[in-house]
Amino acid sequence: MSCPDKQVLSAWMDNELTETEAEKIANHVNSCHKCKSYINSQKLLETVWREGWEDPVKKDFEQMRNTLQQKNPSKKWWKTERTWYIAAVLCAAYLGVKIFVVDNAGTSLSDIAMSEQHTDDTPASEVSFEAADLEAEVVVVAENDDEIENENEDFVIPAEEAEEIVVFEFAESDIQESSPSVDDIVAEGSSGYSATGYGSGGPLEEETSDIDACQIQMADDALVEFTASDAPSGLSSGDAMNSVTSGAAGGGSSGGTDHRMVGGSVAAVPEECIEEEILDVTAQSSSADTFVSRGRNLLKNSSVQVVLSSGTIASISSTLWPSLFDLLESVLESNPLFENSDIMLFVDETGVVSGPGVENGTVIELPDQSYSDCVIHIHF
Amino acid sequence: MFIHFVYLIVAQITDIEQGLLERAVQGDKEAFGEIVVMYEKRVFRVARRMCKCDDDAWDITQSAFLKAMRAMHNFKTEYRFFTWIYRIVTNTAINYSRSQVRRSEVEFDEEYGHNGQTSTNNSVIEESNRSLLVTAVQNAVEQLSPALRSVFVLRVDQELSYEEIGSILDIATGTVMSRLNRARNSVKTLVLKELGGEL
Repeated sequence: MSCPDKQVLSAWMDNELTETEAEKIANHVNSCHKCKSYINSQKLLETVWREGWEDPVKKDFEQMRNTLQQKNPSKKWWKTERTWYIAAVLCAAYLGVKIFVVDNAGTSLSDIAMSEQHTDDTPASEVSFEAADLEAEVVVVAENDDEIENENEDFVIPAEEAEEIVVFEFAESDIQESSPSVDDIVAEGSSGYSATGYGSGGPLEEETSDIDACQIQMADDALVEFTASDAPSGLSSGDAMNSVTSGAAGGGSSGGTDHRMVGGSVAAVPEECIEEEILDVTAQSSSADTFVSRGRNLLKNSSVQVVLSSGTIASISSTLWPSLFDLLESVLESNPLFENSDIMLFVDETGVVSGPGVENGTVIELPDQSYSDCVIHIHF
Repeated sequence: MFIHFVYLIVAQITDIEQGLLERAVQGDKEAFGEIVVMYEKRVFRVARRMCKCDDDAWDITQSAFLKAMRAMHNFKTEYRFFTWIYRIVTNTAINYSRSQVRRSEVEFDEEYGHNGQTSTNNSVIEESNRSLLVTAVQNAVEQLSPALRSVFVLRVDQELSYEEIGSILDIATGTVMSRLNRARNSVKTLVLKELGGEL
């Protein structure tokens, strides 16, 4: 018998051949000096390498675990999933969110709305959500979220305790880049602000986004408010508010500020997510003309935008990424109410897709590795 | 008797892990923390074998667990967690190495890989100590392309089967076999080059 291929020898060495094949090779190796030598030297080299491994010290693992914990301080860590932040930020930037700035006396200072569509003539002070209007309970994850978690598993805390809860804290320098509206706020001369989220309509469960209002308390006592009436169509007020607050929080993370959550649908924001993605996405999503692609029949009126993890917007078409368009078609087919609305999907590095209308664990094939961890914005 | 005892222990450990996974999928952070403890050494080891220094390996390990944590609600507990986490860590390591300044990747063809394989002389191993050889192999592994390196690490270091490797890397078993062969030849050639002798 002539010497087998190295690949076969290699497979024999790894016990990956069938019994018959293995026996044949074994007989040959026993009688072939050359093959025996190859196997022996290979085994020697690999064994020395494998056994030369030394585990790092225990302390290093503890350190890593601590870092992991710090990056995910919320009790329910899946709430940190960036999909919802990016979705909310993009939707808000695209559709427009109304923001009012009022002073502490309740006088409207300026209308710094991102959208021109707001038709409510009511003065901001009257639209604003007063703490006194709160129902019996509100849902807020606060600065001292641990204590709240321990006291109340559902994050439901009495209204009187919620009033002073600080949700966001950032420095002036941190928020300048997040959105035009925030620039205006900075122009008011504030050196920083905090925000408080309020909810009404009864106890809010952790997963709801039924938040009616959010106030940002400026250092000069001015208030920036996001109210239910400011929510763009297709978004719940909670989404609208979260989108603004998340976007504003983006800069805050760079200063190492704790990220807090307003309402049930948003948890702590991963630092890298905010810095690398939300801000980039916010900046780029305003250019609606970058939306490309027309899909198939069901999707003929849809536009799809893919934002890569690098922050760049990728070109996309149904031929480049057929599995995505198959998925979108099935999403729209089973959720006809999505028509004329915007949704966001998140695709992780293994092709697992998450988002509204998508069944848990759905996997699609990525065109290439650069599409891993991307966000897909669809206007159906 | 002893075998039965071992089976019992293994079954219990498997049950514990399954319970932890189910809790982690439901969002239990503590359960995920325990899973991290169970897998951190193996994940770090894969990461370290796939990159050039400890710092990079810690970054990769941490990043892999973060990704797993965020995607945990999508994990199906009927699948094996180790396959899933290995897939994440190898992909993370591959992406990480691509994001670094590219070194010239080395992929040898089979002919080039023949150097030194016919020798029966163990001169190098006799002259160099084991740590030199370990370093030389690690250096060689680092020079492999990510595709070859991942197969080599998963087989030679982690001693996974071809089927498991194929499942983790989402490639056919035949591809595992051919890549492994190329990786072995390349590593051996590079080791010989570095140590200046024969195995």
